[in-house]
Amino acid sequence: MDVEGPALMRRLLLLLVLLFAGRVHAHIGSPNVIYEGLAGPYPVRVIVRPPGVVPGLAEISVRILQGSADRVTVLPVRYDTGSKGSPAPDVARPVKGEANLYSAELWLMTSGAHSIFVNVEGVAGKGTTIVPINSVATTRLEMPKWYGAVLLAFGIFLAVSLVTIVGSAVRESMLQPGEVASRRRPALISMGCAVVVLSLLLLGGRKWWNSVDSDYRNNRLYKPEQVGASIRQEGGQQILRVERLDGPRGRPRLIPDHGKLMHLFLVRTPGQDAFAHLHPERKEAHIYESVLPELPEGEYRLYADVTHESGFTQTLTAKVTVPKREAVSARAQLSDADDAWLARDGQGSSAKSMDLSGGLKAEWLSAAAPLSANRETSLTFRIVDTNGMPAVLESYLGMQGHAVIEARDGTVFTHLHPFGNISMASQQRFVERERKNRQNLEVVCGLPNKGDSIVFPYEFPRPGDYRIWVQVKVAGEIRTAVFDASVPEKSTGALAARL
Amino acid sequence: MNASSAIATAVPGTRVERAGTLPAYCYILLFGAVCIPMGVLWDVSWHSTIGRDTFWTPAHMLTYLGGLIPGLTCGWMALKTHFFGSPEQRAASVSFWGFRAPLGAWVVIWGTFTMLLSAPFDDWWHNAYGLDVKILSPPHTVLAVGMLGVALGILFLMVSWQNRSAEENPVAALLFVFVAGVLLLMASIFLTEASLPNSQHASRFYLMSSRPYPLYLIAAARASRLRWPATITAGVYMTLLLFMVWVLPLFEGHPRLAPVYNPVDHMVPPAFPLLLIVPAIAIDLLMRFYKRLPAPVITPDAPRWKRIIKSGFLRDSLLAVVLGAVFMGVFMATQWNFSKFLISPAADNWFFAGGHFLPYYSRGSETWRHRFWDMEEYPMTMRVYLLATIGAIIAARIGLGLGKWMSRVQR
Repeated sequence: MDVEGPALMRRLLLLLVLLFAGRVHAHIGSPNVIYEGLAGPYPVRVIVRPPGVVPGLAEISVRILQGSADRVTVLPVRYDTGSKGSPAPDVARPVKGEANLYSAELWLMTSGAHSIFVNVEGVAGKGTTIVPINSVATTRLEMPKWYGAVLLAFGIFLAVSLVTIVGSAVRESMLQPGEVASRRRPALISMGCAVVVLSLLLLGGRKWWNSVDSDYRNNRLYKPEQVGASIRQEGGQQILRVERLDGPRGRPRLIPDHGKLMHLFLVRTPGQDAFAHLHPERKEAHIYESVLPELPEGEYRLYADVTHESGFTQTLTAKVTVPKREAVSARAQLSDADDAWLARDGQGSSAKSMDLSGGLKAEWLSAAAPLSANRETSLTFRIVDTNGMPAVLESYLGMQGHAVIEARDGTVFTHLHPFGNISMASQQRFVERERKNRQNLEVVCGLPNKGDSIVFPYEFPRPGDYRIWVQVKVAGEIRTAVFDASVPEKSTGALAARL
Repeated sequence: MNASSAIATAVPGTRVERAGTLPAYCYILLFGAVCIPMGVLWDVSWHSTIGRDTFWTPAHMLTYLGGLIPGLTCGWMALKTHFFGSPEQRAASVSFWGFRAPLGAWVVIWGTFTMLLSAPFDDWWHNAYGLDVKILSPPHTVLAVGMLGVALGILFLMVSWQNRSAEENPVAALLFVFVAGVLLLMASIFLTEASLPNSQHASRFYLMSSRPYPLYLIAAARASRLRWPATITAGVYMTLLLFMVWVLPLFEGHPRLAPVYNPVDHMVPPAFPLLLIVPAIAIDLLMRFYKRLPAPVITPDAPRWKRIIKSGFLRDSLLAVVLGAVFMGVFMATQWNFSKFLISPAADNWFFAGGHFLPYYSRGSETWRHRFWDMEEYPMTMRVYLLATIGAIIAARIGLGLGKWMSRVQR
């Protein structure tokens, strides 16, 4: 029994949600999911803009990057039912003014790990890809004052009307037609009683509303798992210990994503001038430890990307203080060969290249269009040697490179790959489950390398200043480059246009 | 009428309007009244079967018609009565901010405006807390209050017409109890989530049922001129609900939202109606017995305490104690045992629709379907039974008062 308002009102409210809501998600402050991969013969870029509430409408856009499609369908699939527990897929409609771009809206009805099955059909055949997403309530919409004032005025009008009707009922309704009598006193008493009863009912309604709101904030609104972080000195090394603080029911089992149970990032505040990408080892069911590299002392923001067995992903956050390192003769012996860090001052906002060790240089190639919030972009980088020739990139954790983006104030954080910001492990879980229904299902995550460049698809969630760390492996050594990005305020207009 | 405060004077030359035939607007209003619960039942079925909806689903349209048709009709009545009404029509109206129309018309218009208010409130609610796939929520309650206003207004129009009709004309009296049955159905829909057969051994069901059902049945019984008004009221409720129980599953329907745990392929019907006809018969019998009792003679020189005991207020209060206690006893005995049958495999057929009411998102197993729910959370104890009985007595007393007032409504 729901009554929907006009479409314009919905759009206004959605705009307000996007403008005022502070979002927390598996990728901090960056809720949109972006993915590139093959749907059969078709290279596609899929963007999922999840709703801030559950149940809510997710926006799906599918861009066919090569070739053309006759039909694109999308289907929401929950982790515990597979596609057998899903209805018929929705047909994505071509977007006017865009070539090979299709869009659809899908209802996400329950919280938890979901995925969007994208099917593409065309002259080249059929293909499917799976985009894992989290379905969680992340926003609590405040009622705009003008909206509340309009509702209140309407409510007062109805309340006064009701009291007047009660007065009329007592004063006149029992009189024979044509009869005139003075029943002013009982009418006034009845109206007074009506005011009391109505006030009590409204107070009861207010209490009910408050209890629903409290339940939403405490139980339905997504809260990431709590973690604690500490550092101890041991044998001349600094050991970072991360503890999952919730009880066994609140900390589901983790599965490795590109080979690691936890991808942990440290960023020194406030200057963002020291960065580390570590892979702590599991010591106990809820305790993970890692040897710290030679990071300068200071306050650090900690982000830990994990994937649950269900396919649900989280970025756990904490703060940790790195103390001054004791004088040691030996260098830190890192616990994982894929750990890497960078401790040096950042770039200026205009710098588009950075010198790396071994005479290498990292370059940020300008995108075709200026950066804009809530608009898909491709962040393209290239590593060149002393001769200016592209360096040979080795596989680092199974891919060409990694990028980490953090807003200056830490309200946005995301861990990107050339295929987007999904968890490969989560995608794999959905594929494995679906193979019980479709044995020949093949899903290819990511696209073939784009020449000698590394390209990261992304949507900046809001205007502001960001720092980007790019990590690649060249000649057996992991290199970290750092760049600054500024997303201008005018992108708010672009957001409004999109809506 | 309070004799001490009323100074009645007949208006010379004013002819009192006595309805001989039913005005056409009564049938239009009746259609609107029926549209509301039928539209809501259809909508609940839509959400249980298909899930996805828009502003323009047929179920929504039917519900909106239920608000708009009576609202527009009564708006027209108000304009006509105030600006173009004959002296007789204006004489049979009440005043609202200087405008004149029958009382019921003002209540209907108020209900329609309240339904309108619920729409933006509900829309904001969905954006703030997510689409609520449940009946009991604050904006839905505002909508329900609006619907209640529309139906009550129609009830008042019908009862005023009944009260002005000749005794031997049963049409208006029948229409009055018909609308009372519609109101009973609306109340039952609002309590659906606590009233499924599997919940009928939990205390919550009896606590919630103890208030609206005796109120409507007893109010109808007190105000109606028919011989079995409560029984007919309950009969209307059961008939309308059974129509939906039997007709909805005839239509194919498939879920359009994920996850689907219960792959339904036809429209999900509501649960089999409560057997309210049984306590309704008891109410009618008691009311008939009460009417046969000789009216107390109060002499002006009787002591004050004797006058109080013999007054209508105290007699009605004592009657409410009996009616409330009997309603609760009969209602509980009926539903407690009937629900055992309804959740059994024997009721798993088109007639009783046992378990057929489960929506596409229901995750329950076969065993779960055939057992009672909420027994630990809401255990049925003697204390709860007494609380429910007290609730029924209070509801019965309010029902008697409402019925008494309605029996006097003329305008």
